[in-house]
Amino acid sequence: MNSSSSTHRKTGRWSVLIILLLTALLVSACGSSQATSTSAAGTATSENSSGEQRTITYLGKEYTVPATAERIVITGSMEAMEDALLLDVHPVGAITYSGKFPEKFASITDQAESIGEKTEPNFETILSLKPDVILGTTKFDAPVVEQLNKIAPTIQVSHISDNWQDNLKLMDELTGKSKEAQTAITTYQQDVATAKAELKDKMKDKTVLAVRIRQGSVCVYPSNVFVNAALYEDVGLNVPDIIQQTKAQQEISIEQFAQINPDYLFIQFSTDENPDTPAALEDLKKNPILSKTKAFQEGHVYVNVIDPLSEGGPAWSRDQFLKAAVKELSQ
Amino acid sequence: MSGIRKWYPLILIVSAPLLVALTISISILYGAKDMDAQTIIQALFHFDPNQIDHQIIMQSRLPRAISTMLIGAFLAVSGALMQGMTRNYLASPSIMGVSDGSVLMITLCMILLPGASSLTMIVYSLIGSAIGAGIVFGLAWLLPNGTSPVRMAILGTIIGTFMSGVTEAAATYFQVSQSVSFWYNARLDQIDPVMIRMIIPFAIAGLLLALILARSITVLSMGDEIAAGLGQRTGLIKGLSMLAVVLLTGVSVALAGKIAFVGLLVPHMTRYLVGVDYRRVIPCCALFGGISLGWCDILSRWVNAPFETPIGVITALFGVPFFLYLIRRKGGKTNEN
Amino acid sequence: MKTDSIRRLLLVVCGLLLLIMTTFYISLTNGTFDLSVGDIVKTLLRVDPVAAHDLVIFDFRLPRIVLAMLIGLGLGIAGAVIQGVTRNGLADPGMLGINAGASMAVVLFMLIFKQSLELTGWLAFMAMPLFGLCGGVAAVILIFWFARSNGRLEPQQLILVGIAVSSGFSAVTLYLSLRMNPDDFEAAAVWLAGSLHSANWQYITAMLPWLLILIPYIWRKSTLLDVMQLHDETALSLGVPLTAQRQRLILAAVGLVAACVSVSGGIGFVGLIAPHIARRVVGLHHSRLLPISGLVGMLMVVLGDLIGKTIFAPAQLAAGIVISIIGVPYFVYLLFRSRT
Repeated sequence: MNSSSSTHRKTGRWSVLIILLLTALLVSACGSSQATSTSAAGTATSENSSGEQRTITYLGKEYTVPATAERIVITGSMEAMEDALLLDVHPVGAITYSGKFPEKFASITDQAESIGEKTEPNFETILSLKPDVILGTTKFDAPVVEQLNKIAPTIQVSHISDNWQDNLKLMDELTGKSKEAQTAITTYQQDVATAKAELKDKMKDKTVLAVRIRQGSVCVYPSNVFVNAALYEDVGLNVPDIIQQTKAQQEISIEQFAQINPDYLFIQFSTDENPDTPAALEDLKKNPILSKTKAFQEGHVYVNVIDPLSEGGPAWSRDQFLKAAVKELSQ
Repeated sequence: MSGIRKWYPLILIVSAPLLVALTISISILYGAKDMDAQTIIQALFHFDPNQIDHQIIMQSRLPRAISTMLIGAFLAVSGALMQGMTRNYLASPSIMGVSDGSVLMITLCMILLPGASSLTMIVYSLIGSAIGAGIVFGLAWLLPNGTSPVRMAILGTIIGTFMSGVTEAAATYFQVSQSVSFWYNARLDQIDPVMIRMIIPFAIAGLLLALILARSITVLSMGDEIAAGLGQRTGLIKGLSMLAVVLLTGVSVALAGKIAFVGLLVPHMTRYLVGVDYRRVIPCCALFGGISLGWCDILSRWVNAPFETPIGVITALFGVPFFLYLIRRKGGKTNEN
Repeated sequence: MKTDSIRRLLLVVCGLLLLIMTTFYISLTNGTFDLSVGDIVKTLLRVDPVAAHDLVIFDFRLPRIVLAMLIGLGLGIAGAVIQGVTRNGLADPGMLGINAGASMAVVLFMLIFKQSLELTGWLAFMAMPLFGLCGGVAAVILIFWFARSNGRLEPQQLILVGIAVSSGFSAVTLYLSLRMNPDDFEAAAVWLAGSLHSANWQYITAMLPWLLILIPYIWRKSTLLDVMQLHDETALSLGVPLTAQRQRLILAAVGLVAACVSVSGGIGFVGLIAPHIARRVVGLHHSRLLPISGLVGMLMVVLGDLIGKTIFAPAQLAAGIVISIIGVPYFVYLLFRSRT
C-alpha cells in the first residue's frame, strides 16, 4: 500500500464528493431563484398592522387572532378548503397536489401560493406570506403545530366529520361572514327535514350504499364518515350491516358487494385516484356479477353526484350530496 | 433413502390430483356469500348467465382458486430453481429482490402509462424481475464470497429495500402511495380473469424450461466444480434457469403482487419429502406450492371474515417461524442438501 | 511512517470538516424564505434582530441542520460498530430489525392512539418518538433471543435472524397501513422514509444524552473491536469474553440507532455506506474508523436533507429517500472498485 495509490484512491473519492457538492450548490441555486419570486419585502412578522386582537372559541379551546383575518393560510385541512369554497374565502396559501391546485378550488385559489404538499407544510414559505391566521388540521403532529404557531396563530381544524358545523362557523367568524355560515347551516337543516319527510317511508325497507372507487377497488366507510354521514346520520336511512362493522376505510370484494345487494348505489370515482385504471368504472358496470345486483338491474346507480374529490363531511360536500341524493332517491 | 421415504414421491403424485381438487372445491365453497354445493355444481355444468350466484362462481371464485394454485406453483418452482442453482438455502424470489424489481417496474408503468393494457403490465413485470435478479445475482457473483447465504441475503435485502424505496418515492410524489401498497399487499380477489389467460404462454414456457433443466440443476446443486467436471456448461444452465425464474416470478407478480415466503418454504419441504433429485423436486414443488397457497388463501378469507386479509400476512405467519427455524439449523453454511 | 499516517488522518479530518461546514453553510443560507447572507450574519450575531429572521434561522433551519448532523454521526458510528462486531462489511443497523420494529410501532401509534389521545405539552411531542424507540428496542431484543444458541451469539445468525424478523414486521406494518386513510398513510409513508421535516430543539435535547453517553463508551472499546476482527477462537484465546462484549457493543449501537430513528424515521443505508468510505480512507483501526465513519455519516445526512428540501421546493423529499437513491448506486460502485 504505497502512498501514490492511496492518494489516487483518495483523489477519486474526493472528486465524487466534490461533484456531489457542486450538484447540491446548483440545485440550491435553482431553489433560491424560485424563492426570490415570493414576496418578502417587509421584515415584520405577521402582527396585524392595526394591532387589534380578539379571542375566538373553537371546539372548547380559545385562540387569539387578529380582529380581521385577511391573510389566511390553509394547510393540511381539506375540510377547511371546502368551507372556504362555500363561503368564498380566498386564502393566500393553500395545499397543492403534485404541484397543482385541485380544479374544484379554482375559484378561490386565484391569489394563493403553494405552501407544500399535504402533510408537510413548508414553514419558510408560509412565513414569507405573512399570514394572520393559519388553519391546520388535527392530524398534524405536535412539533409541526408548534412551528406553525411561531409564525402565526394556528387553529387545528377538526378532521372528524361530526364537527362540520363548528368548522364552518370557525371559517365564518375568522373572515367576518357571520350571516352566510348560519344561513348555510339552516338551509341544510331544512333540506334534511324535507329529505326525511320524503324519503323516510319510501326507504324503510331499502338498502342504500355509498362507495368510493380507489385504484380499481371498491371501498366503504363507517357510518359517520364520507357521504355516509349525510345518508345515515342526518336523514336516518338504514345502515347496512357491513357498514356497521366497518371501523375505517375498508376494501370490499365484488362478492361481498353482491352479498350486500343494495337497492340504491352511489359511486364516487375520481380519475386522479385511479390513474392506472381510468376505465375502472366502465369495467365495474360491465362486470357480470355486479350487473346482476339489484341496484344495477333496476338502474339505481348514481355516479359522481358530487365532485369526486369531495370529502363528504364538510358543509359544502354534505349539502351538495344531500340535494343530489334526494333528487335521485325520490324518483 | 430410508424405506418409507422412497415412496413419498409416488404418494404425493398419486394423491396430488385429489388434493388439488379438494383445495379448489373448498376454495370455491367458502366465500363472503353463502352458497351451497348444489348451486356450485349447477354453475359448473349448467351455467345460467342470469343467475348472480353462477356469475360469482364463474367470474370470481373459480378464477381465484385456479390462479392461486398457479401462482403458488410458479413461486415454488422459482424458489427451487434459485436454491438449486446457487446452493443457497435462502434463495427465493422475494428475498433476492426479484419480486421487488417487478413491483418497481409495475409502479413506473402505472405512473407513466396509466390505463396500459394487461399485456403491457405483464411485460413490464417481466422486465422488472429480470432487472432485480440481474442486479442481485450479478453483484453476488462478482463479489468475493458473494454467493454465501448470508451475503446473498443481505445483498438481496439491500437491493430490495433500495427498489422499494424508489417505488415509494415515485408513489409519494405522484400521489399514488396507497395504491402501490395495495400492490405490495397481494389480494387475490382482484385477479383479472383475462390476465390469467394472457400469462399462460409465459408460464408454460417457464415451467417447461424448469423441467428440462431439472437434471442439470441436480448436478449443479452438488457444486460448480463437480458440474464442470462432468462436462456441464454451467454458465448456460444458470442463465436459462434465471430466465425461467424471471418468467415465472414476473408473471406471478403481474397477476397478484408480491407474495413472500412461498418460494422460500416450499422447496425445503419438498426436498425433505422427495430428496434431492430435481427431476422429482420441481414437479412436486409445483404441486405442493399450489396446494399450500390455495389453503393460505382460504385462511385469508376466514381470518377476518367478512373482510379479506392480504395473503402476504398469512404467508408471513407461517413463513417467519419457518425461516427462523431454518436459520437455527443451518446458520451461515451453504446448502448441504 | 507513523507521521505519514497521522498526517493523512489529519488531512482526512480537515477535509471532511470542510465539506461538512460548506454543506452547513449552504443549508443555512437556502430556503424558500428569502434571506441574504448579510441578514443571516446579523441574526446570528444578534445585531438588529428581526423576529421573522430569528424564526427562520433559529427555529426552522438551524434545528434541522443540527439534527441531521447528530443523526448522521450516530448512524455512522453505529454502522461501523455493527460491521465490526459481525465481521461483515455488508451489515447495516437497519437489518437488525430496528427500523422495521420502530416503523411498526409508529404506524400502530398513528392508527390507534393518535386520534383518541388528547396529549398536551411535552408528551405530545415525544409520544411518537418514544413509541418508535420502544418498538425498535423490542425488535432487537426479539432478535437477540432468537439468535442465541448455546449461550453464544453468532454474527451470521444475528444478521439472518434480523432479516427474517424484519420481513415479518414489515408485513405487519404494510397490513396496518392499509387500514389508514390515504392522508394518514401518506404521513406515515413520509415518516417511514426518514424525514427531518419536524426537526426542533426538543428532539435534539432528547437525542443528545444518548449520543453523549454511548459514543464515548463505544470509542473506548476501539481496541476490542479490532480484536474482534480475528476469528472467534483467536479472540477467545486472548481472553476476551466474546459473547458478553458483543452483546454490549451491539446494544450500544442499537441504542444509538434507536435514538436517531425515533426522531426522524427510518433513514437507512448511512450505517452501511459510511463505514465503507471511512475504511477506504483511514484503514481498519477502529480508533480512527469510528470517528471518521461518524463524520462521513454526518456529511451524508446533512447533504441528503439539503437536497431533499431544495430540489422540489416548496414540496419536500424525505432525506432517507435521497440518501438511498444516491447512496446505493454509489455503494455498488464502491463495491466494484474494491474488488479490482
